[in-house]
Amino acid sequence: MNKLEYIEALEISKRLVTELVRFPAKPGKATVDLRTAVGKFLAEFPTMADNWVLGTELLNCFELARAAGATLNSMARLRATMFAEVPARHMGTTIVNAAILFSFIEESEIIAVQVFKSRGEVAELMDAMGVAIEDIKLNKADSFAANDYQAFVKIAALLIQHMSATERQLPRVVQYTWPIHYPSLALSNRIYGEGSRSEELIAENKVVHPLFMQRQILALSV
Amino acid sequence: MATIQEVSSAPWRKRLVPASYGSARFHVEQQGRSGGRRVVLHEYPKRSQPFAEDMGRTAFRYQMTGYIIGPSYHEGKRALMKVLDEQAGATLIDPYIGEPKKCICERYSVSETRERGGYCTFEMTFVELGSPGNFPEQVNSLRQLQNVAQTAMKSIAQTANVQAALPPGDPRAGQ
Repeated sequence: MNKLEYIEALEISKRLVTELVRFPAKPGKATVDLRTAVGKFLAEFPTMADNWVLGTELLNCFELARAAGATLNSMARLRATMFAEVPARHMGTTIVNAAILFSFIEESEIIAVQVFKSRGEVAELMDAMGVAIEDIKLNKADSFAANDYQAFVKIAALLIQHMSATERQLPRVVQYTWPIHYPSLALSNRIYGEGSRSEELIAENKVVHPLFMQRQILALSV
Repeated sequence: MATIQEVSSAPWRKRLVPASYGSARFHVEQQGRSGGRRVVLHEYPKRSQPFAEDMGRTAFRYQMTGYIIGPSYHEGKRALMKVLDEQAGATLIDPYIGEPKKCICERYSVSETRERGGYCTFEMTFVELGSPGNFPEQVNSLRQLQNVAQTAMKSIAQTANVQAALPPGDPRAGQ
């Protein structure tokens, strides 16, 4: 690796790991491991490529970030940062491509275990991921290795399939309009036939006082 | 003592196999099998041409008259009655065709007479068990996504390892 290539790749890597650790991390071993792995990645950067472990170490950083509580937003932000990079050399391109794919796959893994409340929530996320998928396909497909591109297409398809399957099983959020201001308990009884879901209505509609719910409220259909 | 198959070795006789239902064996006095197609016949007013619409195969049905004979025929009778009452059905071996078929017993009756000691007759009707319909296959999309994601990340990391180590344009980089 020549010097210019090394400098460019290292600079990209620094920006990458800065984004990778920018999320409200849960205190604990996973966060410590992430910090250690990121430090190691930057410190041993020159020898990693020669030892054929650069991709594996980068993957390890991403996996630890997810374990430490990385969010969808942090991964999307990281991907946007990598999209903004315009590497001129081979090594820089390799790191940018791997980081874009890893961030997308980590997002998929985060979504896979996410608990959704309503169809609208899933549909919104599905639209956002659809845009991300199209973005990657249009702008980065040419620079990916054939195997990596095939893997990306497969993951993208499975992600959309999983989200559609999840969406189908969830209730819709519907808008109710009432003639007067009811207490949350009364609305819970009127909508669901039980009072135990009044807390859910309060949370969904962000009311000032539960005795006086808005006349127009949002609630799950079942 | 020689068996009937050794005495008269007609080809059809050689192909006979012992009849059984599940683990219970019995002898067959007579049997019949019915099958065919399910057809809806459309006969239109003012038209001489009917139309027989095929709606699929009819389930096979077996009507069998079997018997169990011998000094300890009671044990065989109990074993056969137990398996005939099974909710999940069992494998029926038709002695003439010899091909095992998963069936369930719709109805049976056992009869014994004073004149014929050590002998009981079973009248049995079996119907093909088949498989439950209208249950589309459920894919565990979560597990599938997680498995493929893990495999893909390892493969992408491997590509990055190779590409970072090799000079640009090297065919081994797989670009």
